[in-house]
Amino acid sequence: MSRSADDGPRWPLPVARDSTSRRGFLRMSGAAGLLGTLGAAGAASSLAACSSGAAATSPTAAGGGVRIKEYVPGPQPVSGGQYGGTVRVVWSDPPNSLDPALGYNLTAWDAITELVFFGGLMAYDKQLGGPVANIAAGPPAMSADNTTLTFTLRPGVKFHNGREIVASDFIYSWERMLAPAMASWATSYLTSIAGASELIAGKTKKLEGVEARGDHTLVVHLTAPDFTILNALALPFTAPVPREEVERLGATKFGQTPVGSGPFRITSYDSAAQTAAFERFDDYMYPGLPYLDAVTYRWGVDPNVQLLELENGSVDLLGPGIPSSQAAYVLANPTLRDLAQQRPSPGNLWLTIYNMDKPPFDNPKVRQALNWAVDRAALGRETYGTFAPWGAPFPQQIASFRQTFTPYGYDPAKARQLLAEAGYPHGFSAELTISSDDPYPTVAQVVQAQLSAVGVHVSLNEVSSNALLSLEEAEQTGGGHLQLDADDWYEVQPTPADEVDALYVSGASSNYNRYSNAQVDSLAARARRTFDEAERNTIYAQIQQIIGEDAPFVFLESALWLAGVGKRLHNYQYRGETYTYYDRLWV
Amino acid sequence: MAQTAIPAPAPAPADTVTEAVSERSRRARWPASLIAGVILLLIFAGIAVAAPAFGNPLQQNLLTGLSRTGLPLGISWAHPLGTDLLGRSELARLAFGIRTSMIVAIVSNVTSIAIGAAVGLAAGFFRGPVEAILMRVTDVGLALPYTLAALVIAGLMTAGLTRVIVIITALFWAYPARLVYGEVLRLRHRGFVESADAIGARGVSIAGRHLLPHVFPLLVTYSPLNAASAVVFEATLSYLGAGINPPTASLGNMISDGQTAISYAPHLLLVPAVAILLITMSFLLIGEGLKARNPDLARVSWLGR
Repeated sequence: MSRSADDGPRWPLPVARDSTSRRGFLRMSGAAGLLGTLGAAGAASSLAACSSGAAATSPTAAGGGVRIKEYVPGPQPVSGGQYGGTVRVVWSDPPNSLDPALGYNLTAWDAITELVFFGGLMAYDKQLGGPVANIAAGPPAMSADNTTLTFTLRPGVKFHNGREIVASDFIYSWERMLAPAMASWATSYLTSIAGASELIAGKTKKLEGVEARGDHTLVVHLTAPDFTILNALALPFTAPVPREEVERLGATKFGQTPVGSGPFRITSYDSAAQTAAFERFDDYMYPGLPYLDAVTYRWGVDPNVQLLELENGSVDLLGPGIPSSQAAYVLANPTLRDLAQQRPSPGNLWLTIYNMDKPPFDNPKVRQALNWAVDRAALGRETYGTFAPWGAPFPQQIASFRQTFTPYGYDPAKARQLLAEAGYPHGFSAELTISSDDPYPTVAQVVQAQLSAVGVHVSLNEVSSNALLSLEEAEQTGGGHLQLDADDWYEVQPTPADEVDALYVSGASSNYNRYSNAQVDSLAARARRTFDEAERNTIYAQIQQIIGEDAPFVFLESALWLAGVGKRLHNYQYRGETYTYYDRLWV
Repeated sequence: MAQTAIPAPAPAPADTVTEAVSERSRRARWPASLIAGVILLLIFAGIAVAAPAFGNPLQQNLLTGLSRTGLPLGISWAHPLGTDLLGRSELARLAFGIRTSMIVAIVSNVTSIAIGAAVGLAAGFFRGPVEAILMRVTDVGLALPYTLAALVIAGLMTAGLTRVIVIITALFWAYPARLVYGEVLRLRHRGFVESADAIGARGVSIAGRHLLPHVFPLLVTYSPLNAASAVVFEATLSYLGAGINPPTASLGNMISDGQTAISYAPHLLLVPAVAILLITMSFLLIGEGLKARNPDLARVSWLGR
């Protein structure tokens, strides 16, 4: 589905409807992942040796039935950090909108998660781990039944125009974001708030379930317990926006030069020159940060040219990362390798199997056979550096999830046997539709050759990414003619819920192949109500097992993030859900 | 194939040509550009016919055909033009890419010129409403933005050689139609046409027996240029993903794959690009040579002849 022309992480296109579209986001620190210690992520990372002091974690058990794992008081000045300087970032695509309720593409997301805005009530403050309190002074107090969350706001947090953020700003911002006129892509993240569905449907103008008690207390009522709401409150579409600035600037200008509360103010946006500039916000809520004086964006640059610019030092950071087609080259080249930093990423890539109600794909054995027939290790040589072999439904690296499913391996004999059992001893023919974006044509050709070895003859149909998205959406309404296509997903929440609720639940927003399993549906609903992480992970492990056996996809690879970072940058920190942490970066 | 692409010198109207030819030397009958073009084209036609001898263009060698770090191999005895990103022999892919280009060039050339000639003849000969309708459609055809129109047609069809040929035919017929129409208008009131009319010959017969032979040299001269454009356009379509789909080799596909590898495997871009250049060149040289032989078309050419 939708992805940008970027060569970096695949990106979903905008879907202007009330649904979660898939956002591509990536990964945490590899070193921290190996250590398995959530709290020490930043400091432990060998890739970010002079890392954030925010690692001073105190795993506070928050009151009122909340079991948020940890509490970190935000990024702190780091010893050795240098003030001043400008970081130049280069991008492929223009931001679709810098309005936090609307931004979804790579460029926009980077600007609204880490520059103009930084989180909302909650935030992802490190390279790893769940959401922590941000504009909220601490984790929410929760009612015994986990349906009422009471947030106390940190006093003195200011918008870029100097006004303090108060509780009613959140109500305004959320009502604005949920209103049908706004057509935000992200409304489904908030549907568990009481009254949100009515607001989305246009039946009311008020968000019944949220109330401000004074300037510094915000109470959120949920229709049912939902642990994902805390992730949603860390993402930019729930960030507070100042009403007076929205009204002063108007919709178009607010989408270009929004006023937020993040570490940098936007000072210019020039769609003709394809640049934007951001300047240090001196009253940023975390004192002493950011280090940089300014960040500049330039977009409309070919991915291969971006790499050349990084090489000769005329840019400092590749927004879309190192292009997939260049990864092997960069990693093999002694001088270029210093510019690459690899991180795991909660994203994956697969072939979607359509028509699971018609032969040959109605038989799970056929779908499993396809999964056994793919030699992922060979495929991994083609996508070296940006994807790793991984034959399971959920991405290999999800911060708070331990894998129990045994991934599909390469076993052509078993594939042939399963095909024979299903009544296709001589295989069959099918069409695989792919977008022309890197790395799909390559991946598809390798898989095509491998499948033909077990008798499944796949013809390739290459279309533009926009065309593929419309074909996929047609499938969802039952009017499509796809048989197989190649697709990917990057999570915005550090939990399998992100994929399950969007891809696998019956009727989910991006469930294009209409996969439906009543057991998955009920387990997914139960998992969402479960605040205990261990218990929840057991449920998600069950879900992964069921999906793995149903094999609605041919699971291929798990994503990696290959950042292109200039030599003058220090303390580069990144996570897949929200991208580069500019507030702690220095030159 | 070569014979189709280089039609023999047309049985041109004797009254004009013989005089002109008698004034010219043998060199003018076989100008250097024509000889060079024919030789080049024969070489490519030979490669196209013998493509299977150069190896299997679809055989991936992800282990042996790539370097230890997964990069394409350079030029060596085992792989005379190196390997591509999937470890396939670049030489085999080049040969099959040339075959694809030659088939497209020849078939779409014949179809587009045939349609164009038929439209031009009909419009020029019958005049009246037929002319009005056909020539306005032709004008529309000439005004179409080629790439955009091609992408639209591509969206309606399934991928493959047929799609490319249909697209090129659909976009390339209008210019020869214009050309033939203009020529027919010029010939329409010449004595031999009017006398055929006077003895009661039917319209179709006049068009076919009296006009077409006169238009033919023009088409013969135009066709190499048309073929050259077709080769380039096929490459453009495949490059944009609207032409020949992978894994089938086509020069456009190969360029598209090769451009991402320019920094570490420049041969993947240069080899198909040079092939396109040379094929196009061979057609243009033939076109120039034919033009030089035809006194009716004596104009200042790009070779200064």
